[in-house]
Amino acid sequence: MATPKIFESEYRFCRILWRTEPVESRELARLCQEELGWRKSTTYTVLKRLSDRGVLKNDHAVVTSLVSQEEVQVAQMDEMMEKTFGGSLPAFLAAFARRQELTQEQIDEIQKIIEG
Amino acid sequence: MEAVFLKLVDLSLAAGWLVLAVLALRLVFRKAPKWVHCLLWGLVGLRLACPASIESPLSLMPPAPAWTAVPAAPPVIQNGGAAPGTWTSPLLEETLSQTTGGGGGVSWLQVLAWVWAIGAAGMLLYALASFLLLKRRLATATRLRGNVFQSEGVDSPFVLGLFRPVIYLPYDLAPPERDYVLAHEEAHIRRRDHWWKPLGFILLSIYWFHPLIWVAYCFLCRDIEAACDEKVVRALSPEDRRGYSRALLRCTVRRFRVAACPLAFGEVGVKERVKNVMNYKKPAFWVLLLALLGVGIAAVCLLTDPPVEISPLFGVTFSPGEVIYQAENVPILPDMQSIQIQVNGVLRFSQNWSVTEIGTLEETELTRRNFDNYFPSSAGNLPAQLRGRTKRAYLRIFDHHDLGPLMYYVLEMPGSEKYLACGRWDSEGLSDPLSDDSTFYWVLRLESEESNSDIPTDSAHFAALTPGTSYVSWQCLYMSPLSSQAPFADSAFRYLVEQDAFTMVYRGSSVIGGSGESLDGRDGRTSIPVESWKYTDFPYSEEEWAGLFLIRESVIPIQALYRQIGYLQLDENHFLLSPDGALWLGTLGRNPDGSRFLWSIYSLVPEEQMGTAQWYSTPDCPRFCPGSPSPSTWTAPRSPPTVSPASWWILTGRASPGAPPCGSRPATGSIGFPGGT
Repeated sequence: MATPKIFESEYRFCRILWRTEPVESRELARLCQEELGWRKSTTYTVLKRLSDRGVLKNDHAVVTSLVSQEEVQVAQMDEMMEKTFGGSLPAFLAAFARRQELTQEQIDEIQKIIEG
Repeated sequence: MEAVFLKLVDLSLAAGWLVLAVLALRLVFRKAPKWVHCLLWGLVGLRLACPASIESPLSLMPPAPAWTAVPAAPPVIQNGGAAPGTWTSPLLEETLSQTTGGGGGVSWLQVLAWVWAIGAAGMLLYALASFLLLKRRLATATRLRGNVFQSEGVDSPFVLGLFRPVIYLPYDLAPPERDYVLAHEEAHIRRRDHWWKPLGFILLSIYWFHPLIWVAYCFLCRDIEAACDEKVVRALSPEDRRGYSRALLRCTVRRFRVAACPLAFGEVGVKERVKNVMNYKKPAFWVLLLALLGVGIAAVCLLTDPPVEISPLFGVTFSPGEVIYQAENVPILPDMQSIQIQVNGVLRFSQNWSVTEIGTLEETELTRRNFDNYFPSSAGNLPAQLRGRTKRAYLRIFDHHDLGPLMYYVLEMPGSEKYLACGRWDSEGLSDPLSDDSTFYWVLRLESEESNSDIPTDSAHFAALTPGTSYVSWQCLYMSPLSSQAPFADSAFRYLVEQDAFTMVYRGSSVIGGSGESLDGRDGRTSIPVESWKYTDFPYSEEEWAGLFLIRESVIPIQALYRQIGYLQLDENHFLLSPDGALWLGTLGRNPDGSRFLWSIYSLVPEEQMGTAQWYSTPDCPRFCPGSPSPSTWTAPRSPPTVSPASWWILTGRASPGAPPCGSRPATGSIGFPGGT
């Protein structure tokens, strides 16, 4: 089974979980409030969401993970590799040019102003 | 709501000019630090937010157009008994009646006001909704440090929150870019931009109907970012500036919608901002000084309104002059005693103690249709002549309780010639000129009352109080209904103006009208010490004065009838009044709760001018009134008081000099005498 998709903020949450599991959900909410600045309700929402996705299980208010940190890291690395275009600047710029609707010409121009 | 809407239209028109001026000033001050631009937008905001404005002769704002004039408070009818007029500005009325077109009683104004309200509410709701949605998306943002959070729901960094502003960053933003971005966002917070921008958006929501306000908002967002960049860059080395610019480029996001809440890092015009950042030089001191001076001047010239031009017609009291035109069988005669146009343009007539407020005059254009056609053909070329010579014309429609709508035109000619024209007003006439039934009843020349051009401010205009003069009452102008005394013209006292006292001497119970009691029970003589025989300003407001009368119907509208009222307090119960040169004695009573009421007012004349005149009863008058001293002795006293027709009426009991004596005075003169028992 493929490793479930985990967003960055969820990854931060999972790091706390991996460190402390098995852990009571109440304790988890307290830790998240302290370390992530989350409201308690946010923690419970995320718990529900991740348990639906099969990342963790919440059994009578005791939370344990179903995926290991290594698995998630490997999956994320693959994703990064797809995204980074080998680190070449033109490709990188082209990437966000697509996003920002600036033409290559415009970007070059601005680059010139910066570096010139 | 319609009134609010009209006020907003008014404000937005003024602010529209201000926006254009600020756009021009931005060009002039493009070398100045960008926060000066923000300051200029602040002026626009101030103008939009403040319903009241200050008048200044230095103002460069164009005068407000007349069509937005909101009808003032409904006219107050003091004694005329007419129903308050319900007419708005005729022009506005005309515009609206033309466009209503049988809309079932809903005017266009109402429709527009609703459209405005819905639009404004819509924009505010949009802002609120997008704020709440964003808040929800950011719930899982994780704290980086302090008030800095990261979230995958963020494309470009921004600040959110009014009271505890939080900086949100995307996860994939890493040092050194992150440090530049943070520096920028923290500068935003220090500049309180997280307040100014929502404030601007609220104003935009209220004034959404004005395109120039949208332009202003877009430029405000731009200038806020530019000013913030400057604040950060000021402390950066050239190498850091390069890094900062790269971060800018990196974070650029095109936004098509007008963002309500977040202050995003790379929001508008990357190229321009990068240029500004790279070329930033600390502005010279004099540039700064000049820019600040410019903002100051702009504030003075653009935040204020030009003083309202007051027609020379306004603030003047006229007496009726020659009637130059009168139709046959007119139901309303030009029989007012005086015609007053107040400084604020309110037209009022006084007639037999009562004042009828016609309402605020609105400037109007005379045309053949709205003027000439209202005369019968028998009037010849008089209407055309009048219209041709009219420099300015004013109109007021007045809803008469019996006669229906009446039109009052005031015509201002070159020189000091003025006319008042009155007639029936056909409200249907404007929409259907063929059946326009409006007709003039009469036209009369307005005579400026004597000395109105240079009203003397010294006491010479008031009745002279020369020590050694003795006065007697001439008329009882008012007697409290609580009095057991009939309001005889003769108060039965002699009043002595002495060097340092005002003495009232009882002349004996045999005198007709005398109450038979002696004052204080001591030889019928009461002296009130007086330090100085100098008049002061009349201390009562119209309302306070009216409050002294027990019955509203008997209020003497003294402020409306007289231009200058001298006041001299004798003691807590007695005072002298000199309305336009006459002399009255007022007596106050005290209510159980300590408040005061007016007991009586007598008009006084020097005893020697009274001569051997008698106070006798006349069949027409429900009271005793003085026999009329021959006009020649009274109109030329030693120090001739300036007597307005109204005060002449009071003093003589006649409509005007030369009229029949008191005995045949019309019964309408009985106001002010509630009839004591």
